[in-house]
Amino acid sequence: MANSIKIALAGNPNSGKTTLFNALTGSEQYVGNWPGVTVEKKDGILAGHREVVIQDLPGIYSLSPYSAEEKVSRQFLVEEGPDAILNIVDGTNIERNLYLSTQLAELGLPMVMAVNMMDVVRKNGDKIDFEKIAKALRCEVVGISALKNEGGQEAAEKAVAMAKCGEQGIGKREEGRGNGERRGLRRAPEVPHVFTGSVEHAIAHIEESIQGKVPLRSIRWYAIKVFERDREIINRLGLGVGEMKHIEEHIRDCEKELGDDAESIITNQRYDFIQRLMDKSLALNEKRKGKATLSDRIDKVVTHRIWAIPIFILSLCAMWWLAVAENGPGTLLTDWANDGFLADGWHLPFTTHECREEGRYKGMEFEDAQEEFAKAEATVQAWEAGEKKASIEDEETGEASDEWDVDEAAYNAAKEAEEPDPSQFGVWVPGIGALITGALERSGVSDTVKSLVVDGAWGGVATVLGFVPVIFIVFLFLAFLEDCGYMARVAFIMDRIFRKFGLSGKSFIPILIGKGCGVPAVMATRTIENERARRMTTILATFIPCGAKTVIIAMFAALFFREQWYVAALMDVVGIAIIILGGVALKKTRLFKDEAASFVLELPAYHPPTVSGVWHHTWNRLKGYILKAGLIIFPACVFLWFVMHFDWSLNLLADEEIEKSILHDLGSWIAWFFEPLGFGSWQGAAASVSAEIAKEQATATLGLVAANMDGSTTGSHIQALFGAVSDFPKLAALSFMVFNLFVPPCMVAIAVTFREMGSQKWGWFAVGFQLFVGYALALSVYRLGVLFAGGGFGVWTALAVVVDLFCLWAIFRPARKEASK
Amino acid sequence: MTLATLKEGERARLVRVSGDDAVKHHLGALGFVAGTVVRVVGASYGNMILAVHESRIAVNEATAQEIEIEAV
Amino acid sequence: MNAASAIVLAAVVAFAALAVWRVLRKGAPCECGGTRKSCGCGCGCCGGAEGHDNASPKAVKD
Repeated sequence: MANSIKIALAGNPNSGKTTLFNALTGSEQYVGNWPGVTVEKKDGILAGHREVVIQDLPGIYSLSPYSAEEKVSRQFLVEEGPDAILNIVDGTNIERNLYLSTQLAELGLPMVMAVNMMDVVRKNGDKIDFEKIAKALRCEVVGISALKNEGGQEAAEKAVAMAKCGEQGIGKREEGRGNGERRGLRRAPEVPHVFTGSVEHAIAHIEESIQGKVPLRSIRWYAIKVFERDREIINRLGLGVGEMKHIEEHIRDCEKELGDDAESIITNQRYDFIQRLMDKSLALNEKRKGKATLSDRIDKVVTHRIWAIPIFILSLCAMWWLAVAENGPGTLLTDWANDGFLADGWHLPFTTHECREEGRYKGMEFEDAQEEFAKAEATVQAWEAGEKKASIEDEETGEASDEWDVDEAAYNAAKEAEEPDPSQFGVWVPGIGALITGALERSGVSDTVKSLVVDGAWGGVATVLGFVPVIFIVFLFLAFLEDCGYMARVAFIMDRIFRKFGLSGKSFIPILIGKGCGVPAVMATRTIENERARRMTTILATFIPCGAKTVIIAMFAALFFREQWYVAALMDVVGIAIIILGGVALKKTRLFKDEAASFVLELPAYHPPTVSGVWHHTWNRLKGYILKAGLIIFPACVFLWFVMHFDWSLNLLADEEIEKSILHDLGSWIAWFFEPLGFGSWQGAAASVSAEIAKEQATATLGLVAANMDGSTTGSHIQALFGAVSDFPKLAALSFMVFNLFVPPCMVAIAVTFREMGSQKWGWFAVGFQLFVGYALALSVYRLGVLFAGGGFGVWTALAVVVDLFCLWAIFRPARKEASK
Repeated sequence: MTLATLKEGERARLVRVSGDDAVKHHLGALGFVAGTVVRVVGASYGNMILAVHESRIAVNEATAQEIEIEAV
Repeated sequence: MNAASAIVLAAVVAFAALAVWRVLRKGAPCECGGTRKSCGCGCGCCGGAEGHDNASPKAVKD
């Protein structure tokens, strides 16, 4: 598309760029109410104009980049040079926003200023004189409301018209030059007169010296950057020593005269210019001045010196309670999905009744009938094994019931028992698993193929899909948090604590994003301006259990910690503790010694989250999860089924011969690595390694490899698996969970970590650090746990103690004295 | 007098910002320039939320101490 | 092995291969929360393994 027109959307963070972008291009980009939602440039086609590309840029306050995302915007605006700029300005905070607009105007590109949130401005009773602003900044000004979909299209059309007009008569763009310079442009375009006195004089001089070296249209902008001593620009211009000396003299004169450094002089004069302009063109509603807004009043509560942190912790606990507490909505729905909807089937609510059919179960509820049948089965088993007593185990708790006597009469009666037919107890809806099994049986496929489909492919996918209710609640909570504006406040609240440990509160935004997924969390570190703090946050952010890890937590909470729902919430606390302590330890190494003392963050105004916005964010995340079940979990499970049912000479194995399988051998080879952690069986090894594909694969793999263990449900198989591998199954399970939560994240997140780190060395450092932390933690949990549970002291306990002492040393050793600079 | 000495609800006029250049210029872009009137919307343990123009900016104590002010 | 078994087996393997092929071509999906043409994280739900440039029009080169 050689003659496409590029329109860049530029403006302050949270000024509504992405909302406008979505309206203009009909796309569904992520819009949130926290700083740094957009960290990369995004393209879209303007609706109704195939040749026009709209480009959404990360929000910036100025063209002097402060953080990594701001660099993206500046680089694009200056180097690639769009055909026109659509500058979005927050009408409710126009003075601050115009600071960027004056700089954009100096770039000399065709520009349309869209004053956004006009609906709010009108409601507030403020008046803005567009014509005066347009005249002063030499650009077009229109009022819009991106949220109400007012005027955005017109603003874009205007920008397109200006871009086209800029092309006409001037000739084609020069080949190979991306600077937007056009042949035949003899004079620099008119730009606003922002500066006065000696500053204007110095800039004019600089313009003379750099003429010919920069695109003529942007000469003013370059001259100001040289005046500000912008390293990057000066290096690129390649000015000679003599020229630079001459320029430097002018700058020094100004600095001496005005008693400030060059960059501050420019900033001050810009704001003076804006102030003069605002005096003429802005009439604020007097009644509103200095009054506390609703946001201020909310902040009084949520950033309260005492209540701020309890409120935050309480909201996290509420989320976990909803998601995994026994008899909480998350657990009830998950049980329904796991045992009913995706497996055998379920009774339609409000239709259940006692069995009305004559016979064994008459007058019984379905569950009692099931227990009755289980008892009968146990009686038969016991009698055939020659025992005189029988008992059954509770499926969820694993506790044995009271024993009862078994005699021949009981045996004969029990042998007659038939499995209760659920349809006699209410309206029975068959589950997907039952439907698949039924269809396969009817079509007469062999048992092996049936096992592949039911245990292999569907089993794994169903395990993962069964947790959709849990992660739906987590994602819903996150979406709410992101949309209302609380996120930036949490960063502010946590800064006080994080500061003590050498981290910035800004590190907390990636961490909260990481609750949903590690990939955007790692990307969100771009808002952290300090390079070292950014690297450190990238290493640490994925320690917070993400959506997929939540699935592991939910499974173990249900199987092993049903009464201790706080174990789930505790995993978040452990994640944050690792981040803090890991930060402390890293900070004391040579790699990260650096003080990031300042914290400056704009707090966006609160606004009530819209239903559609929250739904959109929740659904997009959930969609990723479901997509993963089909694209990653499904093939992985099929692969695992094959390696579990074939030996090395590719002979099909019977269920009892699983010990000869390829997977068994592969798992056994690396099981030693997990031995100290308490789950050193081939199953534990296979599950842990496969979890690197996607974290929830751990649950799917466990279900698959435990299929041969005792028990009637997948859950009881897994319980039996941990029972077989350790004398302390709960500790082994906890260790397995901790290991899989806190070792390096899934492969996608690792790939993004490498990309954001920008070097192999740093990428490997991050992965190595994460592996060490996960291993050390699981080792300590299991070995010290066994020690306290009376399991004795062994070599591995000693190793655990040594590792812990090392960690304590790394955390508490005195900080290096910084060499005096 | 620095910004850190202000209490909740108080107003002051900025005189100058000192300290690290990058932070100083970032604050400048956010509107922290000489002559601007700021109001403390909330303060907790030295960290504060400030009203500058129409926006709310959170700063920590170390940053507040670098901002010199005078009474309005 | 009967015909039904062969068909089911072939179908499962084919679907698994298709999924792997898609992941290799477009990147692995994740819960990043972005939509295909937007978020730029480079995952399979957001525009493919080569990042956002994959989804953007090829306008920059010429």
